[in-house]
Amino acid sequence: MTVVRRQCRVQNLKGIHCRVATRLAEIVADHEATVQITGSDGPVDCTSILDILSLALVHGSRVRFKAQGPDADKVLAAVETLLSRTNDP
Amino acid sequence: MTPDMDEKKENLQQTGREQLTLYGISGSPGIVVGRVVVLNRQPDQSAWYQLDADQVESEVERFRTAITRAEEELVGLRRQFEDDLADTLSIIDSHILMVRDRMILKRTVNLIREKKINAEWALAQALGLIKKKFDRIADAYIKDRFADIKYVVDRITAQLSGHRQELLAGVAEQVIVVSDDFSPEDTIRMQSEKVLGFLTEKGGITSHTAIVARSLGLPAVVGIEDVTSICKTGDTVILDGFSGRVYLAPTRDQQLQYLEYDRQHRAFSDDLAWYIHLSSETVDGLRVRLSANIEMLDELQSVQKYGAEGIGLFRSEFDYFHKGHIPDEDTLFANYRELLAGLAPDPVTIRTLDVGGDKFAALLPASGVRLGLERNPALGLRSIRFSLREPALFITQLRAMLRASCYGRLRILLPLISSLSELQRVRSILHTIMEDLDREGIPFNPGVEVGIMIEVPSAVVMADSLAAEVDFFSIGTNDLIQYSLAIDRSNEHVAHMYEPLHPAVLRMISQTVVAGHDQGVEVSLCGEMAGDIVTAPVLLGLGLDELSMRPSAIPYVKRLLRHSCSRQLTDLGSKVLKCGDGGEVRNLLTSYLPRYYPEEFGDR
Repeated sequence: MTVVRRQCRVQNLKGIHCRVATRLAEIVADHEATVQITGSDGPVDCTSILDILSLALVHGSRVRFKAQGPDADKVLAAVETLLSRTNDP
Repeated sequence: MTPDMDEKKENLQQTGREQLTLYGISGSPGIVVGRVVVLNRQPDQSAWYQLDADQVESEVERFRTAITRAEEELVGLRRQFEDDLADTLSIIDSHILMVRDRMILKRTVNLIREKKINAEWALAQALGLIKKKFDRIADAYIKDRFADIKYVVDRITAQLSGHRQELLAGVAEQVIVVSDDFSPEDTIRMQSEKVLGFLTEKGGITSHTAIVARSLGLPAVVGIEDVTSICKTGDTVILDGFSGRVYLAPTRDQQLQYLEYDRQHRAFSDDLAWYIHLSSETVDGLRVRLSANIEMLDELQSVQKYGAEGIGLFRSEFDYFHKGHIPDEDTLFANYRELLAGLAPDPVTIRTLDVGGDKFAALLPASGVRLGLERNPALGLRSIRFSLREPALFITQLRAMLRASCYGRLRILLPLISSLSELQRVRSILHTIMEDLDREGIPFNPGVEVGIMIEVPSAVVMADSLAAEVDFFSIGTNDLIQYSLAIDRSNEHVAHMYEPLHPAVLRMISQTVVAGHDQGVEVSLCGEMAGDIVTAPVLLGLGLDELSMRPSAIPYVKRLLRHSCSRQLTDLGSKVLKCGDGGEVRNLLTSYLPRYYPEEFGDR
C-alpha cells in the first residue's frame, strides 16, 4: 500500500475555517485514499470536518499529511493546492 | 419559541413605552421599522432517560433517522438558492457535512449504546465534548465556528423531538425578529417568511449569520446586550442596520423619518442628486471638503457619481491581497496614476499599508513575521510599524506613489504614527527615494504632501510638535475611539460602550484641530463618524477642514452642511466639549438636530 507524506503551511488568511475544512473533506472523499492531518495536535482523519476545525490551524500553521491508498499522490497534490491558496475556495 | 402577544403590554406600548436607544454591531445594512417578535430559541431541555437493553438499537435507529431528516432538510434548503449566493451556499454545504460528522454521529451512537441513554441526551453530551475542544482554541475566527456546530445539533434535536421549527407560526404581519442567536438557515428562511430584519444578542460582523443576512439584503443589528429581555413582543422599533442602532418605542415622527432615510438609501432621491453638483459650504460660505473613502480603483466611478471632492482615504491594502503575491512597483504605480489622473485637480490621499504583519506571513516567508498568535494584535506589529520593519516593501510602495505624484494632487498618509521619531524615519526614507529618483531621471513632485493619521492618543497629545513636520492631519476615529476608550467594538460584551460621542473623543478631535490650525496644517477626519448624519454636525462644529466618508453618504452630509451656518455649528462645537458624558451629548443633539435640520430629523 502506498504511503505518502507531505508538509506545508496554511496560507489562507483566516486559517482552516469551515469552508476550507469542508473542501478538504470533499477532496478526500473524492479520492481512493485515507488522509490524516496533523498540526500541533493530531493526527486526525480528514473525513471529519469537526476534527479538522478543532486542530485550530491558523494562517501560517505548519501541517503534515499522511495519505494511504491508490490515490495517495493525487489526493495530496490536490490538498496542497487547496492549502496554498490565500483566499477561500 | 413563544411570541407572547400580551394585550396589556401592547396598551402600555401605545400609551408610551419608554424610548430607548440600543447599541449593537451593524450586521447587515438597511433600515426597517416594525413590531418585534421575541423568540425564545432555547430548545426544550432534553430530558434524560435510561433505556432498557432491548431499546438501545431502536434508539440508535431513531437517531439515525433524525440525522437523515436533518440532512434532507438542509439539502432541500440548499436547492432553493441560486448559485450567485456563493457565500450562503458554502455555509450550508459545511452544515450538510457536519450533520454526518463522526464527532457527532459516532460519538452519540456510542454514548447511546454504552450508557443506554436516550438520543437527545447522548447528542447533548457529544456536543458538550466538542465544545470543550473548541473552548481551547485561541483563534477567534475558528473558535466562533462552534456556533455552526451548535446550529446543526439543534436541527437534529428538533428532528428528534418531532416538532419542526417554524420560526413564526401564527404571526400575520411583517415583523422584526429578536433572539439570542439565529442560525444561517434561520436567516435564509426569514427571507421567505414575513421578516423585515432581525436583532440578536450574540454574533459579530463576521458571524455566518451576518454574512448570510448581508448576502440576502436582510437588515440586521447583532451583538446587542440583553436585547431579548429589553424588547418585548409587540414593541415597535426602528432597526438601523447602517449604524448598528435600534430605537425602541420611537415616536411616529421618528418612524416616518427613518422610513424616509430608508427610501433615500434605496432609491437615490432626486432631491439629493440636486446636491451633488452644489459646492459643499455653509449658508454663510464656510467651505468644508467632503471626500471619499475607497479601497479599490473600481470605486472611482462612485466617487464621481456622488460628487466627492477627492479621496480623503484610499486604503491601499487591496492590491496586496487579491492576487496572492506582492505587487511590484509598476503595478502599484499604474493604479495610483489612474487614481490621481482620474480625480485631478482634486486631492487623492493614499494611506500606506495599514495591516497586521501576520497578514503578510505567507507573502514574505523570509521575514520571520508570524504573528497569528499575538496576544494584543491591535497593539502589535501592524501598520507603519510593519512598514518600517520591512523597508523593501515600504520603499516599493513609496516609490510607486512618488512616481504617480506628477499626475495629480497626491497626499501620502502614514497610519498609526505614535511618535515623532517614526515620522522622521519615514521622512528620511522618502528623502532617500527622492534622491534615487532624481539620479534615475524619473519625474516626481518634490513638494508632495505628507501627512499622518491621528488615531493613537499619544499623537493627539503631541499634535503640536507633530504638526511642525507634516502637511496635513487625518483623524481616524475608528481606531482613536478604540484606543482611547479601550473598547473593542467587535466584542459583544463591550460593544455597547463604544461611544463615538464620548466627550473624551470629541475633545481629542478638537485638540487636534486646534494644534493643526495653529501651524496652518489642514485637519481631516475619515472615520465612520464623518458619514453619519447624527455625528457629522458635531464634527463640522469642531472645525474640521475635510470629512471623508463612504461615497454614498456624501450627498446626505452635504445637505446638512448647506443648511448650516458657521456660527451655529461653532456654538454646537463648544457646547459638546463641555458635556460630561456621551449621554449628555446625545441629549443635546436630540433637541439641536430637529431644530436646525427639520427635514432630516423632523419637528417634535
